[in-house]
Amino acid sequence: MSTRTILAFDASTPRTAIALGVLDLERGEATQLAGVDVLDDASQASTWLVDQIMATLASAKIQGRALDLIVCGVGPGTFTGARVAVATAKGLALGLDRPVLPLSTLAAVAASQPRRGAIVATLDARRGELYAARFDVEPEPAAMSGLHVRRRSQDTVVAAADLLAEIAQLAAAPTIVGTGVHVIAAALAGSQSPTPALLPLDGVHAAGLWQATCDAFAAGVSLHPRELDAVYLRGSYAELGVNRPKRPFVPSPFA
Amino acid sequence: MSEVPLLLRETSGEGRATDRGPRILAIESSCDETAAAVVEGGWVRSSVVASQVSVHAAFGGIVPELASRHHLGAIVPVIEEALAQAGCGALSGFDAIAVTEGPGLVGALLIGVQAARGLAAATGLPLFGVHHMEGHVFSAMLGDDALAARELEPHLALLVSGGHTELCEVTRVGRYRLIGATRDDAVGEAFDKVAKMIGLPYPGGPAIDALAAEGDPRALSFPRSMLGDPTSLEFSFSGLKTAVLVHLETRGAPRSRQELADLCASFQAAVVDVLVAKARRARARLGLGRVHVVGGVSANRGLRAAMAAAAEEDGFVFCAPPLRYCGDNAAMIGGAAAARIVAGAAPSVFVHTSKAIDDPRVLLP
Amino acid sequence: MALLGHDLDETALTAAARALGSLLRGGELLLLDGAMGAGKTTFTRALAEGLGVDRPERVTSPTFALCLIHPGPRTLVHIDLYRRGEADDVQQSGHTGGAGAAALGLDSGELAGPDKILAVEWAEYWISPPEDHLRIVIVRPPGVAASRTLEATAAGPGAADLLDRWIASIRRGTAI
Repeated sequence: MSTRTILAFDASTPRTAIALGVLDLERGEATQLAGVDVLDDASQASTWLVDQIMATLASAKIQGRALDLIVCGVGPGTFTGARVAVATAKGLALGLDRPVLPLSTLAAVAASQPRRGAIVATLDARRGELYAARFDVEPEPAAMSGLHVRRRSQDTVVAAADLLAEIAQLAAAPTIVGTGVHVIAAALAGSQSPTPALLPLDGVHAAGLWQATCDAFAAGVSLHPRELDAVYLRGSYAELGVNRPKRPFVPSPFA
Repeated sequence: MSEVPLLLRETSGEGRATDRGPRILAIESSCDETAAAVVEGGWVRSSVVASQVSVHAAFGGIVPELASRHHLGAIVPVIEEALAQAGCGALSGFDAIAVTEGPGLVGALLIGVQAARGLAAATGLPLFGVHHMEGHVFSAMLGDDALAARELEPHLALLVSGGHTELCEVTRVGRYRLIGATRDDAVGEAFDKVAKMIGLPYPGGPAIDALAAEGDPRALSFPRSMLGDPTSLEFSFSGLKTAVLVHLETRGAPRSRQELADLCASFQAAVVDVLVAKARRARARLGLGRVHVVGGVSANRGLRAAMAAAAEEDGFVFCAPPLRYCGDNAAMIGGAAAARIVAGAAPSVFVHTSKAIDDPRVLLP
Repeated sequence: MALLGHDLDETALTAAARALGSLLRGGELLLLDGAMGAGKTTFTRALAEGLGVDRPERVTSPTFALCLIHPGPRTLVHIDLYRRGEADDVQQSGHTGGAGAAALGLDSGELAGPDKILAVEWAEYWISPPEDHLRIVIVRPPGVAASRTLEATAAGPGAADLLDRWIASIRRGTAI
C-alpha cells in the first residue's frame, strides 16, 4: 500500500487547526483533502475538537478506520491546549488501533506563515519568554508538497532579550513570526538595537499544519499512543519553585 | 516509519459474556488518580488505579499542573491494563464509554474526557459523562469476584472526601437531593490541613486514622461544630481546624508519640461525632432505612466503627464500600453510567469544576 | 490601609463581609489574605449572601477544587491558591482568563467578565495581581479562637471607591 491517509490536529496555539490528507508515497505526492482552523484562544478547543475532527472526516467522506496515522501537535504552547490535543490523539489512536506521530507546534507555525527563507517561529510563553525555533522555509520540488520547512534549531524556551542576542549572531537576519512577536516588540521598545522583521501570526493554520505534517512524516518515527506526550519545555511552576509556601512543612519526629 | 504492534486486536467470537448489564469502559481523572475499569452493570470485571500520591507528597498536597501531566502519561497504560485484566482484547462487545465529567480540576478532567471522546469517536460507542459524586454513590453497590453487587435502594448517602462533605437523599438513580453540606472545609481537607500542622505526611487522613487508634479520644476537648442547633444538617470543620491551631499555639507541638496519638484521636473523635450525629439526624428525619458512607474518607476506620455502632443502636442498615472502592476509581463511574443507561439517560458530556450532585444536568426525569 | 475592625467575633466579621457583598457591582477583584483558620471562607460565604448569589449556602472552601463558581445576578468566582504553584501563571493573564484560566484548569469565559466578582483566597501566592484590586486581610491573634482583626487596602481607583463605600456602610451600620 503506497498511500497514507493522515489526520493532523494542533491545539497548542490560540488558533486550533485540523488537517486531513493523503500521501502517495510511490508518486511522492501530497494531497490535502480538508482542513479547518478556528481562533479560539486554545481554551475552548476541548468542547469542539472531536466533533470538528469527525466533521472534517465526513466532509472528505473519509471513515475513521480509513486513517493510517494520526499526527498530533504536541507543543510547545499552551499546556492545556497541548494536553487536550495529545489526550484526544491517544483516545482516537487507541480506539482505531493506529499509531501516532508527534509534531512540533513551532514547526506547524513555521509552515503556517507566507515568508520564505530564514524564519524564527515563536509563541508567547508568558513571563517575558518565548517558545522559539529557527527554520528555513524553501520551495523544494522534491518535497511532497513542493515546500520544505527545514529545522535549524531545537524548540526552546528563551527570554526575549536572549533570543534577540542569538539572532544578532546570525549571518542572515531572519523574520520573527508567531504570537511571540509582541513579546519581542515589547523587549525592543525604547532600545537602540535594530528591529528585526516581525510578522505577527495567531497560531497554526490548517494549510500550514498539513505542510508540517508532510515534513514530519518524512522525518518522523510514529509511536504507540501510550508513548505520545506533550512538550512543555519547562517544569510546572511547583517544580520550578515559584511561590514556595510561607510555612514550611516540619515533619513530626513521632510519626 | 516504524510498525507499531496492534495491541487492541479484535478477538473473534468475543461477544457479550453475561447479561449482568451494559458493558462499559469507564475512565476517571478528576483529581490525582488516573483510573480505568471495565464493568457489566454493577459488576466489576477490572478496576485499575494509577495513584499520584507519591508525586504530590513532595509538595504537601496536589499540584494541579503536575496532576494533569501525570494523567496524560498514565491514561493509555491504565486503559490497556483495565481491558487486559477484563480479558477484553478490544472494545468490541462494549455498549458504552463512561467518563468523569466533574466536579474536579478541569485540567485533570480534560485528560480523561478527551481520551474518552477520542475512543468514543473511533469506536462509535456512546459516551456518558458521570458526576464524580454520583460515582461515589454507586461505589457502595459494586460487585466483583469477591462481593455480590447490590441493587440501589433508597438511602441517605454521607459523601465524605477531600472536596466534599454532603448529606444526600438518594431515591433512585438520577434522583438526588442534597440536604446538608459543609459551610467551609470538607472533612478530607480538614484531615489534610491538621495533618500538615502536626507534621504528618500527605495524605493526612490515613496517617491521622492510624495514630488515632493508639490515642485517647477524650484526652483533648475539641469543639463539635454545628451540633447545637437540632434542626441543622450543615457541617463546619473550619472552627475545629482553628481549635487545633490554637491548641498548638498555646501548648506547643506534641512532645511524645502518645501526645501526638492523643491529639489525632481527639481530633478524629470530634470529626466523627459530628458526621455520625448529623447522619443519624438526617436519616431519622427522612425515615430512611439505610445509610451509606462513601468517598475517600469512608475508608476511615474510626468513622466506620462509629457508624456501625449507630446503626445498631438506631436500627438502620449501614453500608460502606470495600476499601478498594472508597478512593477515586473508575469502576464506580462505570457502575453509575450503567445504572443511568438502564434508566434511559441520553449520552452527553459536560465538563465542569463545581456542579453539585443535584444539579439539573445530573438528575434524571 | 484601613482598619475596618478589631476583636471582631464571627457575627461582626460576617456582617462586614455581607456589607461588602451588597456593594459589589461586578468586575471587582478581592484578594483575601489570612493564615489558615483566619476565616477567609467564612468571610466569602457572608460576602456571597450580601452579593445575592443563587445558593450562598453552597459557598465552601475551594482549597480542594481550586475554583468554585456561584452563579447569580452577579456571579461569584471563588478561587483558592493554597495549592501553590500556579499563582504566577494567574498573574500573567491578569483578570482576563487565558493563561490564568488555563493554569487553574478553567475555560477562559468562566473567570472574567463585568458581571463577575473574583474572590481569591491565599492571595499572597499571587505575586503581582491586576492593578485594581481590594486586598482584605483577616488576622487571628495567636492563642485565641474567636477574635479577628479586619483590614483592607485598595489599589486602583475602582477599589478605592469600593473601600470608601464599604467604610461608609460599616459606619452607618452598628455591626462593628
